[in-house]
Amino acid sequence: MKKLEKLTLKELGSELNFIGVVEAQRLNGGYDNDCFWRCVAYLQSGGASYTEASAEILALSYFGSDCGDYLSANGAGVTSPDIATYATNLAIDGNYHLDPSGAYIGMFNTNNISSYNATGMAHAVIVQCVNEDGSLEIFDPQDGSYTIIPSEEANYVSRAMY
Amino acid sequence: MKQLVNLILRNLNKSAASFNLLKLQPSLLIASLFLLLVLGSQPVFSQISGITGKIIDYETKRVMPGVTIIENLPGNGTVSDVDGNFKLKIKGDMRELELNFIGYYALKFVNIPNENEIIDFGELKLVKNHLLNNSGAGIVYKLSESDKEKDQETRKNVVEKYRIEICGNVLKPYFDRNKIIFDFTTTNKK
Repeated sequence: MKKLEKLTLKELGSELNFIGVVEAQRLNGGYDNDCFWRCVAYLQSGGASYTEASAEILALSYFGSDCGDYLSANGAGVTSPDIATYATNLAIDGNYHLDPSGAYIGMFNTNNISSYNATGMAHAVIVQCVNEDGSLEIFDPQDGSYTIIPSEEANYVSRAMY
Repeated sequence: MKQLVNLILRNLNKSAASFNLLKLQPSLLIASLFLLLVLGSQPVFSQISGITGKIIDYETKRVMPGVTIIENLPGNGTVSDVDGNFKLKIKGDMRELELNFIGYYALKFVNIPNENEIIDFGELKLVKNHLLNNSGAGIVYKLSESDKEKDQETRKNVVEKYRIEICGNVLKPYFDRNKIIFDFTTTNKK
């Protein structure tokens, strides 16, 4: 029997091939821009679970056998028509319930929100509440951060779901 | 009414001065009691207890399940069912109502009067937002010139043709960014 050797991280790095983010997004489970599914996981679990794994389960249940094509096209991003279909399907099945706290999934172009890097990418977050001055208190399940979007930028945040 | 109140007050002053209520004319005493009864039992305004309606697509006329209907954001709300119908029990003092569905302009009603206990909004048409329709979460925005042109056409069409009739009020829309607003204070009574 061959004796197994314990390698240091440096030795392991020289033995293995690494793949880049873009390539990882083309593989099932290689999630990155899964902001929408993380938000769905957050609200459906009452804020208990919003990990990459819980987001992946939701995405796979929606895209099913087309998942490979979907990941190739958009990484883990999701188009507006797909969000619309997802919400419609939940409503038809009687499984679409609003969060009792009033929290919902908001979506915006990062070019319009000063607290985010302007990448031109659309991003989904949890809008936890609207303050009296019109500013939005948001939670980002991708990095676990809390931010306030000022009232002058709040109009750029669309209600995507819930 | 003002004269009647003055008359009552004068008589009450008289009776207070003489400490003898029996000096009041019997007819005036009855009128006074009637007035107190009427004013005391009338609520200042009636409150909306529920709303109903059906949501369809402005262009295709198809019913729309999964549309969120929220009373005074971000409060009480519901979701339209498989046939596009919704019923919402109002918990607060509803003055605003907002309908949302991704890829469509939000529909917002403001300054809703408290004249009816239950309001049937009838068929509400959601208008596709060509700019938002081609976006998504986690992907780069792609706005084409044809999307912008389609959006301009839609806005013009909606402002010219979209009318909603609720409880005898005819409402005309205006745009505020990604929302179509119907303001009850600017309605024409039918």
